[in-house]
Amino acid sequence: MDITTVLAVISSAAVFLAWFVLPSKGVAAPPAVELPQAGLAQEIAA
Amino acid sequence: MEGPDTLKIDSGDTAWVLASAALVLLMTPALGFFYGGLVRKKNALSTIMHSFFILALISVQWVLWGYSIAFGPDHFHLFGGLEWFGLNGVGLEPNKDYAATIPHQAFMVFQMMFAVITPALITGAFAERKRFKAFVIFTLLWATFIYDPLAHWVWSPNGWLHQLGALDFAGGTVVHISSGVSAIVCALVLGRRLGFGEEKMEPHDTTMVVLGASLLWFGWFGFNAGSALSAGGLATSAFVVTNTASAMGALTWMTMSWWRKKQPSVIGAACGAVAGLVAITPASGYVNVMGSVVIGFGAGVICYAAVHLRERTKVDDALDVFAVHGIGGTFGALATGLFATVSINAAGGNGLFYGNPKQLGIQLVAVAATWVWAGVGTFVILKLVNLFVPLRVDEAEEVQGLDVSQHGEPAYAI
Repeated sequence: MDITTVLAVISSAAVFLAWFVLPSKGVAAPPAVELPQAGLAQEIAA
Repeated sequence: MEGPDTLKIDSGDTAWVLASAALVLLMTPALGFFYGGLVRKKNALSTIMHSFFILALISVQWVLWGYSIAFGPDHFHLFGGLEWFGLNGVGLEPNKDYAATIPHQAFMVFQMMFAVITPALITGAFAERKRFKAFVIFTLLWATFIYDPLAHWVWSPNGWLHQLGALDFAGGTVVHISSGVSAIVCALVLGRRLGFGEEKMEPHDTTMVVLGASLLWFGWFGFNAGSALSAGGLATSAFVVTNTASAMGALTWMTMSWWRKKQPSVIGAACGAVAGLVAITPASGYVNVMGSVVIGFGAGVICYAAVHLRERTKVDDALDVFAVHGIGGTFGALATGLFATVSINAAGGNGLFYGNPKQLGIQLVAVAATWVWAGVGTFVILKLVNLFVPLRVDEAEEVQGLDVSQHGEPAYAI
């Protein structure tokens, strides 16, 4: 196995193995943004 | 001297190069969408316009004088003369210096698309604040005085870097380092956007970013595999390593962002794919598939780190052109000096890992020359343009957004 293949195996293994230890839970979503009312919705609100 | 038999047009080669030219053309509007999604809503259309406009501008510049300066008869190993002005003498017969099996005009139009996308890459650095008129003049001067001579240095058989033995299959130095270094100079000369560092400047449409990156990936097959200038084994190899490096770049950048920010970033995956494509560009005709895995990985790590270092400096390279193209291109050019092997391309050379340390030194010279030429030249051009047209829009125009202030057209009606 030449040095290029060795480096390729090491680098791809580093990426693939990292996925086993990286966080699996999602992070809480930021608060919902209240969209500005426009058009008909604005008229109804008024 | 080559005999007349070697100048016979091959229909397969011609079809592939013309199709590749069309693929590379698509990359420029794709870049427009990639950049357009990354900016704020009020600047989406003006950012897309930068790329679309350059497609038209450089298409005309190239057939008038650009191609002649880049590939015309040599002068001092530095630039081509104007003997081929207006494509005079650039006909439908092959040119043995560039491609012996396709019409000279097919080679010319393929190269045109490289000349088009290179200044378009720079636009990401000055997005959201450059005056359109200044951008137009800057682009014309930059293409003529920076890109065209640089292409001659590297790709003309008489260019000094070519004769030195520099390997750049599809534009690591000519396209990516030149645009990346010019981008950071633009960012420094123009200064930061209003509110930079004080307010969030989030991408307004991530779906557009991913669409743009996907089309760039697609078009890059023309960019790299088309650079074989023939439809055969070398084009196939370049195609495979291009796809592999892009994929590895995407996986690596996404993993880095997952590690650092606890979530796998979609924009990160898109940027990683582009970084992998940038880095494999100079190497694509010289390295094997395992080499492309390493290059894609390296691009993901190094370009990701470069973006974060740039953020600490507070330099407003708005869309990180320097980090991805300048650093990615430099890494790719140097990696070519490590991983190149004549088992892929007998016309190339071996790199350090295949017993030829000298190649790495030559690559270093090519990288340094490109950095200096692009950096100094861009600075001079910007200062020159600023004498006649202010580079930046007024504060009020910047606050309003460039879509309306420069073009009178908002991107979205809702």
